[in-house]
Amino acid sequence: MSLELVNISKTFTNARTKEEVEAVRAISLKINTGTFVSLIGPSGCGKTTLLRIISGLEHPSSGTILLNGKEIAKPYGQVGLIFQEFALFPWRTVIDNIDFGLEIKKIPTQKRKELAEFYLHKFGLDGFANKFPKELSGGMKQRVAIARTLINEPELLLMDEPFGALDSQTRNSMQEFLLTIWQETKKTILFISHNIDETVFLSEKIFCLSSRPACIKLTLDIDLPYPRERTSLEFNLYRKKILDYLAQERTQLEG
Amino acid sequence: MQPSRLKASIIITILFLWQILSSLHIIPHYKIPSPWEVVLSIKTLTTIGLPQGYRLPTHILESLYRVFCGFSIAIVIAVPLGILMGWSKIARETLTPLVEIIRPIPPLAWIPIAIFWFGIGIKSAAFIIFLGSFFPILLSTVSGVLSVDTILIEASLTLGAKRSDIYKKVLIPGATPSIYTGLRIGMGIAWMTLIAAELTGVKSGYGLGYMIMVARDIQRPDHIIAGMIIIGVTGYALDSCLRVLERRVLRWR
Repeated sequence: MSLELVNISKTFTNARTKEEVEAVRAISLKINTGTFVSLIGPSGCGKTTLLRIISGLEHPSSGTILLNGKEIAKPYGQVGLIFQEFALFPWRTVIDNIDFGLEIKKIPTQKRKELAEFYLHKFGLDGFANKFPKELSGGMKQRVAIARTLINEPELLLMDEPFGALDSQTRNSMQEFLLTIWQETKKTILFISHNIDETVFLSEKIFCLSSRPACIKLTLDIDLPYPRERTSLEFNLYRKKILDYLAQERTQLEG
Repeated sequence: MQPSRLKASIIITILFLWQILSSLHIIPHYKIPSPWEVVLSIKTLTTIGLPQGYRLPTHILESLYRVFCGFSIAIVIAVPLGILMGWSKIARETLTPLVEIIRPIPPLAWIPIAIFWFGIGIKSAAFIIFLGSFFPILLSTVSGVLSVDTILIEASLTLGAKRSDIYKKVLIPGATPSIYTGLRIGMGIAWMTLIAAELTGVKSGYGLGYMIMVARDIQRPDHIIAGMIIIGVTGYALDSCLRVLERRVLRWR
C-alpha cells in the first residue's frame, strides 16, 4: 500500500486550560508500496502523533492522508499498528491474542486456530500457545504483537518504537527478525525509532523530523544492500549524517 | 509455622480458653454458653430445629436462597450498567448523581417500602439484598472499566474491533478483576443485610436471622450463639467460593 501525506498538521487543545500544542506542522511525504521507511527525530517531537494520525486513532487538524491514492478516515484493519508497550491482551493466551482480529471478523474457530498456529510456528513461539502474556519475555511479547497484526494482512504496517522496551541483544535479533518478515511479506512499513543504528540497519529511506512541532527537515536514502553490516564504513557514514543532524537540532532547541 | 496452622491454632486457643473460663464459672454460662453447649445446641438445631420442626439446614438453605436471588439480580443489572457508565462519559455524568443519592440509604431503611410494595416474603427479601449488593458491584464495575488501559482499546480498534467487540472482548475482561472485588464486597454486604432483614421482620418462617430471633424469644443464648457462628461460617464459605472462582478466572494476572 502506498502512503501519501499532504500537508498534515495537528494541534492539540487542552480542554481545560485551552492551551494549544502544535504537534505536527505541514508534513508531506510519500512512501511507495513495499518499502521500509523510518521516521527519526528528537524525543517528543510528534512522531507518535503522526503515526496515530495515519492509523486513524487521531484526526489531523488539517491535511490529507492517501492510502493507495484514496482517503480513508479509519483504515482499521488495513493499517496495522505496533506499540512500544506491546499492548497484548493480558487475559488472553498467546494464541487467542494472535487470532483476535480473525475472531472479530467471525472467522470459524478451526480456520482461525490453524492460521494462528502457522504464525505461532513461524515466529518461533512453539509451545507458548496457551501461555499468558505475563509469562513471556519482552521479545516474545512483541513477536506475538506483530503476529497478531500481520494475521489480519494489513497493507501498511506502522511501528512505534516497537523494540524500545527491549534489551539491546534482543533488539538486534528482533531487527533481523523484522527484516526477514518484511522481505517475505513485502509489506509497506513505516517505522519510528529514536535509535539511529536501528533505522540505518532497517530502512531504505529515513525521514528526519525536527523538534516539536514536527516537520521534515532531512530525507536520507540508504543505498546499502541487505543484510547490512553494522560495523561497515558506509553504515557509519549514514549514522554520522543522522547524528550530526540530531546534534544540530538539539543546539537549535537549546540555543 | 504454616499460615493455615497458625489460623487454626488461634481459633483452637480461643475455644480452649473460652471453655475453661466457662467451666470455672468465671464466665456466667446463663449469659455466655460454653463452647460445648454451643456444639450441643447445633446438634439440637439440626435434629429438632428451632422452632420445632424448622431444622438448621433448611434455615441455612432458605437464607442462601434469598441471598442468591437478590445477588444475581444485582449482578445482572449492575454489571452492564457499570460498563455503560464506565465507557460513556455522558452516561456516567448523568447517572452518577442519582446513584450517589440512593446509595447512602441503608438497605434496611427500604424494608418498610419493600413490604408495602412486595408484601412479606421472598420478593421483598430479595429486593433488600439486591439493594445491598448492587452498589458495590456497580461502582467496582465502573472503576474496572475506567482502569482498562487505553492502549488496549486502541490496539483492538486497529485490529478492526467494533463497539460491541470492544465491550465484550476488551472492557469486560479488562474490568473483571475489579468486578470480582465488587462481587466479594457485595456478597459480604448481601449476607449481612439478609440476616438483619430476617431479624427485623422480612420473614417467612425460615432463615438464620429469624432463627436467632426465636432463640431470643425463648431465652436460649446457646441457640443464639450457635446461630451466629453458623452465620459467620456460612458467610465465610460464600466468600471462599468467590475467591476460588476469582483465582480460576483471573489466572492471567
